[in-house]
Amino acid sequence: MHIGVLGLNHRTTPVELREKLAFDPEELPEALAAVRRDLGIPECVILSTCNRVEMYTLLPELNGHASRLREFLARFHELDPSHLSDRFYWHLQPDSVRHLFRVAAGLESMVVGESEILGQVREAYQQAVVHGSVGPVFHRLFQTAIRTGKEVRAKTRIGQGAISVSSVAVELARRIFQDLKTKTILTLGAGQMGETTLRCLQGQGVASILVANRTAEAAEPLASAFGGKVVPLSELGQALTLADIVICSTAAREYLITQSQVRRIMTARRQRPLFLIDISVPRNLDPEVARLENVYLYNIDDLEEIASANRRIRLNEVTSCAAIVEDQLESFLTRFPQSS
Amino acid sequence: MIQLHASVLFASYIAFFLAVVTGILFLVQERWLKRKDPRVLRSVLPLEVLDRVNLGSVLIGFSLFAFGMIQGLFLARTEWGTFWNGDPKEVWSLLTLAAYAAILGLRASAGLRGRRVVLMSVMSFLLVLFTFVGVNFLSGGRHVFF
Repeated sequence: MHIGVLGLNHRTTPVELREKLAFDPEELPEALAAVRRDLGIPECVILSTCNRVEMYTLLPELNGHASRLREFLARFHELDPSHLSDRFYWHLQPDSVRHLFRVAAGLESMVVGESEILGQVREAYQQAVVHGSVGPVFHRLFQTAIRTGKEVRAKTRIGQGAISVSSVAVELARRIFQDLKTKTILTLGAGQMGETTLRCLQGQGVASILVANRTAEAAEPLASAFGGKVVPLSELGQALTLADIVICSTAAREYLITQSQVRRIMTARRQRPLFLIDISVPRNLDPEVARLENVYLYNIDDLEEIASANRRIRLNEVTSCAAIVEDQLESFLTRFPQSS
Repeated sequence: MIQLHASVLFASYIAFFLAVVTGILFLVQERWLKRKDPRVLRSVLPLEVLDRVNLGSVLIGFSLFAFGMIQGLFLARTEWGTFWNGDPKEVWSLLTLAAYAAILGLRASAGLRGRRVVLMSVMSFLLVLFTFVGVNFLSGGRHVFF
């Protein structure tokens, strides 16, 4: 018996092709059944996410399975197999087992150490169990993989720290405010980065969203997408009195909010803390604003610096994560002979 | 009665000390946040919570302290004959009470919060310490033990 994996991921295949080869959850039972029936494979798990499609298979013998699985995958999605051949990687043990453990550990992810993949591996395993395509070997294989994923995250700092500008902004907001669910966000401008940050904060659940923009036409779609309210620029002062978090990403060439303006506003808001996020270049918020008490101003460079420091910490952890993976791999393989 | 006097005042000192602990945490975290020090992301309690607990501790401490002092005035009349004896402990207690009253006043009337009033709550604890212990080294007091 041999454990093999046929797959493609964000490194080997562009998204246009990945999305064509991905399995919908409702297609999975059919695919799992077809692999077992048509290819004579006793155990199979299909891991299909937006960044990877991988078929883990237990092979009775080695002959020709790689090409048959490739063909199966192409035909299942009604594609021509000859166009796909160089997109796939094919591993046999120990590499196939190592690959699965590294995937579960987040070492193969686009964002190193992200934790979503561990849930996806568990989900793929459970789906396969439900549809009867997991036997004793894959029970042990996937349980060890999930355990490895957990161990790596518990013993190293691979999954820690916000590593994008928007998630750093959210983390900072949580260090200022007790409960984001009672807070109001004001977004100035309709820039892409501002929208991403807004979405991240909204994911934490905020009370209300205000959208201010030079032109109402640009503010309307943003406001309706986030269930927010459009505020005319003439009422910016009033909006600033209400808001707790301000995201600024406009194309303006000058400061839109000045220190004296914020000083007046802070009195009006009885010194409630104000978190200002300036992700526009050139900056739209006067840096002098940061000198005011209870006002916290972060610009794009400040956020990026924290994010990249956290990314470096994660990358430094890769070696110790790989060591944990190797340990688990060794103990798995000693109990699973190469050929039996 | 003297036991009540001592224990209420001691309870107020505990509340004032809690204000110091939350106050120092606030000041450190606030400084990290202002200086964009990534260590701020390791903090557990948000600034808003620390500010609120700091205010609550000052409020409770002040109430207990004021009660303890007023009760002490009556105690003094029964024991020593007059409400006010000009005892060093009494004078410093009044100063301490005034300091915390000022903090609460600034918070309530001027709507201040954050660094400056929190810093005041930390500094005012020096007065508490002096009133509680330091005064006993001055001569002429009638408060024999604390």
